[in-house]
Amino acid sequence: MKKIGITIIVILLIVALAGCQAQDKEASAVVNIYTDRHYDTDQALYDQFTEETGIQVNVVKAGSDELIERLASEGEATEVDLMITSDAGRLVRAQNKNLLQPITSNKVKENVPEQLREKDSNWTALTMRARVIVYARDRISPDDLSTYEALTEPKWKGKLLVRSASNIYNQSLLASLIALNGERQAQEWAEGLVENMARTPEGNDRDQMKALVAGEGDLAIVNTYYVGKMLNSSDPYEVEVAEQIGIFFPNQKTTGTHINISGAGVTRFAKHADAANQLLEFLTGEGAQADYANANYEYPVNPKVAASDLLDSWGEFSRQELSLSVLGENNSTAVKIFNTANWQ
Amino acid sequence: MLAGLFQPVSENWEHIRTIVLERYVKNTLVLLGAVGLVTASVGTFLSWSLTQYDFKWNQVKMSLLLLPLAIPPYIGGYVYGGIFNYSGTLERIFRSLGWAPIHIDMLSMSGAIFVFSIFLMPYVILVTRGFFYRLPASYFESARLLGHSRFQTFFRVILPMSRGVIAGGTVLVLLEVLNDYGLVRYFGVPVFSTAIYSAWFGLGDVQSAIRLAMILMGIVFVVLFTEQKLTQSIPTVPAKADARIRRRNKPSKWLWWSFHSVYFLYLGAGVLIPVAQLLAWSKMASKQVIMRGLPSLIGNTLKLGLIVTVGVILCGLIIGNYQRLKNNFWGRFYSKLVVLGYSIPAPIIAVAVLLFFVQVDQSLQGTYQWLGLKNAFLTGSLFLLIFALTLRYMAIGYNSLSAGFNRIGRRYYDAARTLGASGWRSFWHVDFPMLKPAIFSAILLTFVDVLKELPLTLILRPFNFDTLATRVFTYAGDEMIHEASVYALLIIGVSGLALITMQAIQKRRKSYD
Repeated sequence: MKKIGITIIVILLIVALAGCQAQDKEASAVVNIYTDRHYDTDQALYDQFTEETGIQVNVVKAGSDELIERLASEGEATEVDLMITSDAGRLVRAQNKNLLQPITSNKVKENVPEQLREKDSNWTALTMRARVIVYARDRISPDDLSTYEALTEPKWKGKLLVRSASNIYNQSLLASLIALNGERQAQEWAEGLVENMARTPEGNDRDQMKALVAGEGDLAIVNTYYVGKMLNSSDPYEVEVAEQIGIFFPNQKTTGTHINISGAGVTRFAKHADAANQLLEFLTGEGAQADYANANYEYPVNPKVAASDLLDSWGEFSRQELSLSVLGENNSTAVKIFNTANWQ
Repeated sequence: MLAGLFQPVSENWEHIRTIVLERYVKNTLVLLGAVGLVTASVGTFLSWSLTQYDFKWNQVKMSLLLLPLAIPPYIGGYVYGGIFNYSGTLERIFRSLGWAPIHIDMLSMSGAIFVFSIFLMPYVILVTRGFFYRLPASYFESARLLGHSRFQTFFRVILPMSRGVIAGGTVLVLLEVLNDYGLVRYFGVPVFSTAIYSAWFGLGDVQSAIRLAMILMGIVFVVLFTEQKLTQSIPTVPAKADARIRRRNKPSKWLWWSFHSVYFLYLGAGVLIPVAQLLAWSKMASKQVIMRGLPSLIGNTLKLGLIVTVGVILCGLIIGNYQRLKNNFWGRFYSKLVVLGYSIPAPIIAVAVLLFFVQVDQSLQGTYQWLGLKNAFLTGSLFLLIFALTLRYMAIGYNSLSAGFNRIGRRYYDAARTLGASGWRSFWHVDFPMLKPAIFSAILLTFVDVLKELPLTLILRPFNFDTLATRVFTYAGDEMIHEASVYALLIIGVSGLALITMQAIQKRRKSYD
């Protein structure tokens, strides 16, 4: 048995060495990123940053949960300097696992308002998304809509479309409601929503909107930028669907519309923390923020930058004023509530 | 990992156990049962018909049957989701014909069963066809002489004899189903893997996740054990090189029609429709997709596939040979362990491998400095990924190899040794040629599987290392299915080519398997 083990290891080593060439061109200045944002536009921004500063940007793209696990397992040995996720809750988790260090750049703090940063600047938002109610314009009047909480009213029975509970955007929405209304009411809300669902949750946000237009339901809960993406889709049918959809920002007279962010934090054992801070300055700066807003239909976090014309056309809205850290703190409670409410 | 089992039960565990476990286990069993039944029966039917009856172009037809394997189930899921969706392709066709659109809810349990069955069935075909092809004519002759019809011969004689092989192929299918997370998540069908991911990432509770993974392994162990029991009582089939292979019969009219309808329906659903849909989507997205670094993408994908395949085959041969010669407890234990490993969710494997190599790196730090290497040399390199993939796909490759070893036993080896050949020489000159068919299918399965592999590659890859599959993920994960389809087509193209090449090589050797 031992012999076999040794042979296997030797073979693997040989095989591996063959595969390891051509790696590791050590550039003089680099910043290494783990990111959960996979857009081509992000890569274009990194390229631009490299061009401006000469700092090379190396990227691993995967789901944020998996990347946090990888970061945690690597410990001190990690090569990663910056962790980017598309959800505040995940940043909080990374922070709670003691994987982040405060952002030192004052420029980042100037660029991003306080609510969109962690209180000790362990992480900062890069872009903002609103999770809104969309409705079929031919059947529903926006006057019938008011709040997330009102979605549990009996008049919406069998009318509601929403994706599965394993989705982080739903978890964060519920986490915010736990913070605003308390755990018991949040539980009742989830149960009420399940009561009103038009079908068992399936598909992604785009699928909810397609089902909405086809008449399977009257309302759906989706993120704003998916509407933007469908309006600009290469598939003419998707555009057709998106054009029949109205966007409603809920809770305008009460607690504000739920927003989530994609954001970034410098890792605790970053070997190039300065470069990472520099990249954050760039990404929260006016140029990059405008690109985010225009290319990806997200809201900029830098107040000096205006949202794109499309986003402006949906109107201004007031947002939840919660500290975003709450989304992370309440995440596991939210998951449990979803389970108990049988929101699949 | 085992240590985690003895930790006190957490509050989360109580929550999982009481609220979600029963539901998820039930879903898992339904999914496994249905997919297993469909793939085993239809797969056996197709493979039996093609090996035993003359339908013209049998070889070509057989090669085409393997093509659905080139399409990963998660891509297949997106495709069928897109076809049957509201405002999906089917509805558009109906609308353009002026008919009222019908809606089939593809994103459901039955949809998941359909998609998994379609794209995983080639495993059963691949494993059974070699066995069927090599069945000696004497069995049929005896059965027919004793008054059995062909139909009876199949059900009374052949089926009981081949149940082990069919079970072997089906187990591969079921392992793939258990492993999947992407498709069941998109379809909204919560199964066991959902529970593990939800415990780990949703509740942030590694202990509970590991506990769940252990239960899963327990289930898999029972399945494997049953498979082994099924296989044990089978009369051994002689693998004599000179055994008279049966000539293919002319099919009856009834069989001809039923075979061709099943065959073409299957090819349509498993290859034509998905490829056509992906082509249509890619055409739409052609203006938006930036084909950045395409050569390196394909290069990376092939490199990974080749290296891992070589690793798996070498290790598989060594272990298989050891198990055959020693046939002791450790050999059997290890061979089961390999397959069990395949049922552990990828992220858990990934973290285990990472932790291991972080420690190795630490202990090797002195050596690194001496060699002038950077500190996290192994952790930050492709080696990590190759190691993890090799570990994982040992199950697939080894399953095929061990079937080959079982077939030849050690008689020939012993004979060669008695005649004075060295151990190495006996293996190389006597066993190896007989093992070739098994090695071929092991290579094929492993290579195509690694091309499609997602979770491990995603988590463990070094910086700036992209493969075709990770590109598909980055687009599809963002609901950009049109853009993803360009890369999905490339995966299908590359694995399709691999399948056809291997098939062509084998055809030259005039043998199946």
